[in-house]
Amino acid sequence: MLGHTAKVQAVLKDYRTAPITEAEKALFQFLEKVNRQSHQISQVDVDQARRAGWTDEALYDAIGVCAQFNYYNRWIDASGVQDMPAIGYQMSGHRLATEGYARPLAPENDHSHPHAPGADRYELPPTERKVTMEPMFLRDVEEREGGGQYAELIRQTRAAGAPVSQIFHLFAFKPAMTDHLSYFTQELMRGASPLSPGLRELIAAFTSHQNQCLYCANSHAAAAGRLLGSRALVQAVLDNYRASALSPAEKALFGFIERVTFRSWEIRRGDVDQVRQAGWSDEALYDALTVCALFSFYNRWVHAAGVHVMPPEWHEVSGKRLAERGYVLR
Amino acid sequence: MGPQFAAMEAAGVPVPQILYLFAFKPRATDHLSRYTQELMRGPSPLAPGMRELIAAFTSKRNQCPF
Repeated sequence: MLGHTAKVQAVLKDYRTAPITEAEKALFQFLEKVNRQSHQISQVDVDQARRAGWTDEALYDAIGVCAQFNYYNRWIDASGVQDMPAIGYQMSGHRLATEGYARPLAPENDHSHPHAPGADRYELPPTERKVTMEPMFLRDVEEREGGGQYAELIRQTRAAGAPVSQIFHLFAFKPAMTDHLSYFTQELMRGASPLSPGLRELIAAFTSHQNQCLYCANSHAAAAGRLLGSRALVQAVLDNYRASALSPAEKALFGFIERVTFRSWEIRRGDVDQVRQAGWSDEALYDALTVCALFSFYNRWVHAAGVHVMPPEWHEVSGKRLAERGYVLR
Repeated sequence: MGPQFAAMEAAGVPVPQILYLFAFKPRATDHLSRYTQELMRGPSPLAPGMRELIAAFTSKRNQCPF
């Protein structure tokens, strides 16, 4: 794609010795950390990449791509998508380079221009306690007005004098892109599935907890608690799912999810057969591993952009919103 | 995606199995495709080629050959 196959190969082999610029080396060094240790990213890492010459928008996009392929990698590994002969990669590379990733949607599925949310429909976080949030690592993302449904929500929240959940900025920065992410997330988390929305939220909280993403774990634990009717069960699963009150079949499912989160490349047909024998259909497994893969994306996106954990009562408000209204603002 | 798979098979082209993952729940994955399209090809300070390189880099580090 860069017109230099040898250069691409050199970067994949070892970016530090590849014939690329110092700025590009700094970017790959940053992305290596986003990929494998996103919970340890700090302002220092982001500033270092910025000093190499990258704008916040460039870093936002680079983080987005790296996080998104953490989604795809797990999706592919855990569902057993097989390696192809070289001709297959040549053809798919050509297809991606010329046609890209999507065809136009049928009009009934095209939600790319959702209505702005009604001004009176959102419950805002409690404001009694004065808490100052640390700024995000990507300041431009937080400071730009942004557009679409989330920019509107940010304006309403500020107008009410309430604190803004920083993940809203990640959505508002590029709404032409993130509106599709919202709809995908909504369909995955609330659409037709053998897994209840509560169980899907629990998988999201569990994955985020394993990835040490407190922001996501707290919000989705709150949503799961509401949808399942037991906050104690949710906490027990996060603490140690093996000792929780989950059924043996559910424990087998969470054991599988744990592997998808940490070592998806080691998953083999036998692993999937084992969890299927616990009673799960292929559709249930597809939905479960897709939720896990999606939150492996969100956790990195949130960590590396510097979305900070909030006081517990704010996460409760987010959890309530997710449980009652879902992921698309309308 | 059914006819597309049939056409690929008729032409002797291997069907990348990831297409089956998209085809299983298109109500969800149509949005995933569009999100990915915008992320990988939409306006950005990073060229599409650079974004593909980041994708390949991430996948290589995660030992995912795709």
